[in-house]
Amino acid sequence: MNRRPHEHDQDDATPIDEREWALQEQALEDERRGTPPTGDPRRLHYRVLARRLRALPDAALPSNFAWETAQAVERRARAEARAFARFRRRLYVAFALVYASCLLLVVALSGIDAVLPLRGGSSLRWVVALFACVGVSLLLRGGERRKTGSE
Amino acid sequence: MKPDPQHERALVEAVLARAPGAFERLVREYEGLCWHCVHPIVRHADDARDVCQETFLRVFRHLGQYRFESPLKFWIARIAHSIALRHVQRERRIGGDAVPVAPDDDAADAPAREDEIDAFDFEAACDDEAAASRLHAAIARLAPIQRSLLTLYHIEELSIPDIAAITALPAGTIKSHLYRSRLRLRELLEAPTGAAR
Repeated sequence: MNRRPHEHDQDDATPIDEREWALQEQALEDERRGTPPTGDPRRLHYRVLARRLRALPDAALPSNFAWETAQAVERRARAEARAFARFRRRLYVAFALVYASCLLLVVALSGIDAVLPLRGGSSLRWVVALFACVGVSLLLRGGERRKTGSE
Repeated sequence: MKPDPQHERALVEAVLARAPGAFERLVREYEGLCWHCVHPIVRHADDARDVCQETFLRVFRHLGQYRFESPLKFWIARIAHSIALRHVQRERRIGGDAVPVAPDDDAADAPAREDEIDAFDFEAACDDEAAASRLHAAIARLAPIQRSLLTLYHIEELSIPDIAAITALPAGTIKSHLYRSRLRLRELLEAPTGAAR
C-alpha cells in the first residue's frame, strides 16, 4: 500500500498505555454527557482538555461563504464552458482549413479531374447526407443554447 | 450527526441537475466540516478559506463521479483533507518552512507525570485563562496532522474508522496521534507554571 509522506512507521509502533487511553476516552464521554466532574484527577484534566478543545477560539468561515463559493463556482464553470466552446470552434475551423488545403493540394497535383466524379449523379446522396449532418448539428446546438438560456 | 443517504442523494441529484440554489445548499451543509478538515492543517484563516473554496470547486467538478459508496460528508472531507495537505506541502517547499506535517517524534513522547495533584478544582481549571492560553499555544505547536485529528475527533465527533476513511491513515496511527497529543496537552495543563515542554 502507498504511504503518504506524513505517515511514520514509528507512529504505529508507539506504545499506547491502554489505561491512559481509557481515561482519555472516559473524560471525553463525561464531557459529552455532562456528568458531574468527580473521580481521578487525570481523568478530570482530560475532561478540561476536552472542554477547551471544543471551545477553541477558532477563526471561522464568513457567513456568506456558501453564497460566495456558489457564485465563484458558477462563474468559473461558465468561463470554462466558454473557453471550451472557443476551443471547439477553433478546432472546427482548423479541420475545415485542413480539408480545404487537402482539396486544393489534390487539385493542384492531379488537376480538376480528380474531384470531378463528385459532380456525378451517384454522389448526390453524399451531398444530401453532408447537408443533413450539418443541419442536425445546427439544430442540436440551437436547442442546447435555448436550454442554457432558459436556466 | 449520522448522514442521511436519501437526503444526500437528493442533494447530489439537485446539484447535478443544476437546480437553482442547490450547490449553495450543499456548501452550507458541509462548510463546517470542510473548515474543520482544512483550518487545523493550513492554520492561516485566509489560506484556509481559499482551500475550502478550492475544495468545493473540486466537489462541483467531480460530483458526477461520486458513486454513493461512502457518505457524501466523507467524500468531501477526503477532498478537503488532501487539498489542505498539498497546500501545506507546497507552502513548505516555497517558504522553506521547517514545520513538519507529521509530528516530531523526539518531542512527542515523555513519561507521564506520576505525581498527581490530589486536590483538583475542575471548575477553576476550566476557568483558568493562563492555562487556556498555554493550551492554545501548545495546540498551535502540534503537527498539523495532530491538530486535524483532534479537531475531527473532538469537535466533529467522528469515530476513528470514519477519520481513517477521510485521512487514509491507518486506525492505529490515528489512535497513536490522538493518544500522544492528548497526553502532551494534559501534562501541560497539569504544569503549574506552564513550564511543560
